Amino acid sequence: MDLLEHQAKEIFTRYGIPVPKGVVLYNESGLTDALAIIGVDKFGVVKAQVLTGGRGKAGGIAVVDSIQQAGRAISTIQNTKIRGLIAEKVLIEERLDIKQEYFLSITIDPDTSLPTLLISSKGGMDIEEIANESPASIFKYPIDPPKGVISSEVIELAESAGVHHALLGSVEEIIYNLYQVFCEKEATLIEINPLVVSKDDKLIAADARLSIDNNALFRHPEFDQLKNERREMLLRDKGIDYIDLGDGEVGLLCVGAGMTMLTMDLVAQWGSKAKCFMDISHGVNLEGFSAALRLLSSEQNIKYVLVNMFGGLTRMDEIAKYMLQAIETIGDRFPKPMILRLQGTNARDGVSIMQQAGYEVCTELEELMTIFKGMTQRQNEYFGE
Amino acid sequence: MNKKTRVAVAGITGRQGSFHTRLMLEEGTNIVAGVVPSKGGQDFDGIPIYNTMLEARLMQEVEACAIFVPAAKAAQSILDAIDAGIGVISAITDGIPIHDMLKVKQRLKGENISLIGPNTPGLITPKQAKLGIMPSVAYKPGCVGVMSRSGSLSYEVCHELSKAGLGQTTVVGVGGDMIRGVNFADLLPLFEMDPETKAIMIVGEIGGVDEERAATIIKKGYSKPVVAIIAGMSAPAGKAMGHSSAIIFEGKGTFKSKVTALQDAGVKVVHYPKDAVRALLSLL
Repeated sequence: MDLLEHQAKEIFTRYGIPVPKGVVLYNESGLTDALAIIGVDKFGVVKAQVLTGGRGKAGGIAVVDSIQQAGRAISTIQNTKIRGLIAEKVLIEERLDIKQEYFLSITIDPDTSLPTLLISSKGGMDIEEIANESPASIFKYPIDPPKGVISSEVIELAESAGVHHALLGSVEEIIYNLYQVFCEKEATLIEINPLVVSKDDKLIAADARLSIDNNALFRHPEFDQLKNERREMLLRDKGIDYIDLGDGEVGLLCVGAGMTMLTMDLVAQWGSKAKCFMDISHGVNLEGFSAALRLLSSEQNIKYVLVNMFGGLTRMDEIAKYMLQAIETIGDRFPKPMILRLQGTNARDGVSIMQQAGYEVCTELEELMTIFKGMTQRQNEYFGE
Repeated sequence: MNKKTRVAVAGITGRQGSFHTRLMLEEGTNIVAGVVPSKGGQDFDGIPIYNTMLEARLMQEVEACAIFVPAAKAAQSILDAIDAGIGVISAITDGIPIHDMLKVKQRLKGENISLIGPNTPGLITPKQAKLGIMPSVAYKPGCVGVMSRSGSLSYEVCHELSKAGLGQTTVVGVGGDMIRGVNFADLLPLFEMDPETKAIMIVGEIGGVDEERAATIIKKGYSKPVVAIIAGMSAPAGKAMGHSSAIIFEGKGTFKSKVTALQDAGVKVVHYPKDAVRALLSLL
């Protein structure tokens, strides 16, 4: 689960990592208090709280001088789609006098199965951009978990990366604290970009990224509230991996990530586009199917629903029964064109159950293609496209 | 792995463990022990249950095990199997915390143990032995060695292969998690040594660097033909697609980088399961 910038910064503060003074606002009320907290001379920067990189370029960050300007910036930001996302809240922060920008992150390197620190003195850009423009500036340090971050080694690394001498100690301290957060919160990624060096030679985390391992959330009740605010996390609790793919017209419901991906590729090859990715591997029960089908029926951009399953662990007759029970909770019939392909464990029973209920269902991928193409064609003719 | 391999099932009395133990037995698997703490001394369909994996190994000469223990306790169960010295550990459990798996990987260092998974359908030698959950209907004995990152997609591919008369020697799911045991690169030499295996099918997906590393090995010289299918061609960049490893990591792991690396190594890359059949038939 990715945290918003302000949520990550709240955790940083608790672990002694310096962040700018700031206030979270849902609208312009509260700006007077924000001004008082931040101080007139450093007021302020308005930042959209959305889960995407490149907010600056997408119009999600504004520098302001007064409460009036800040108010206008908030309403502009909230009315702009930032890489397809709407900002419900903004973080308004003090302006920093920037002398230099560093980059720090800890993530897990799948090659070595070790937490790995990345450091660069060319922060401010995306890591991909840094990697493109000055790959030699990125320094990598694999962390051996039992030993943790060894301070002499990290100082040496920071020095090679071009961190200013006077700041080596402070950088080491921040890295130590970052690693504490990484371990204690069971993060998969923690990143400060940029880590600002101010004109008075102080280090401050101007931005913050933190992703928590979804598999570990069960032992971190401190994130329960955040989890309940996210649609994809709520679906996850019901056993569904849900990803909004942006624009597209087909809602996919599959078992297994690989199968869902293949189906997404097939839909593209058949001349259409998937709107969402839904892997129901762990939600094969009435609750899971009800949640999935309710979303598929209510999401306006989804015109067709494609169910493609090859059951190993999951039994197709169970799938069919849950589908029909779940549809009953919505209405007499599923309200959108839906086709199914059921294969694997107990497929024959599953197919006949769905057929009896009057749904188009097949067992092979080629048949699915023929039915799918026929369905989209009929719809296009019907709507005169 | 064959019908003589002595297998233990951890979590044999659980919902999944009990259901799949019966299916594994149907496939021909020689299951000699179950492991459930606090149920030692009982039995499951006549299979003796032990409190610990070590006990199971000492009493029944267990050589391989399948783990069906719930996620919160699965890493401990893997660690116990490593400590007991079980040579092949197939960890079916999905949802194990990554930081737990980091500890498992630390422990595995220097051990001559093959950990398969976690979050894997396991491995199968059709009609001989199954250490996992794959639907038997999709598999037939034959000459293709299959390794895959995704369970469901490997069912699909093997189903197409079997329909066309292309059976499999062994099918291994390496698992969908970012931190896992064996990788494609570890399996390639094993398939090369196996005289029964005439061709290799790689079922990959975007994210991670497994396919790229496999390509590096094949490029150095590989004696058997290889076909690969990669899912995720139409995925938007930067989205994690269910499998936590399917996150595009520092520019590596994209659809394009995988296809380019594999083609460069002489691997025939196909986009859809049907094409995999054609490609294999043309190479055999």
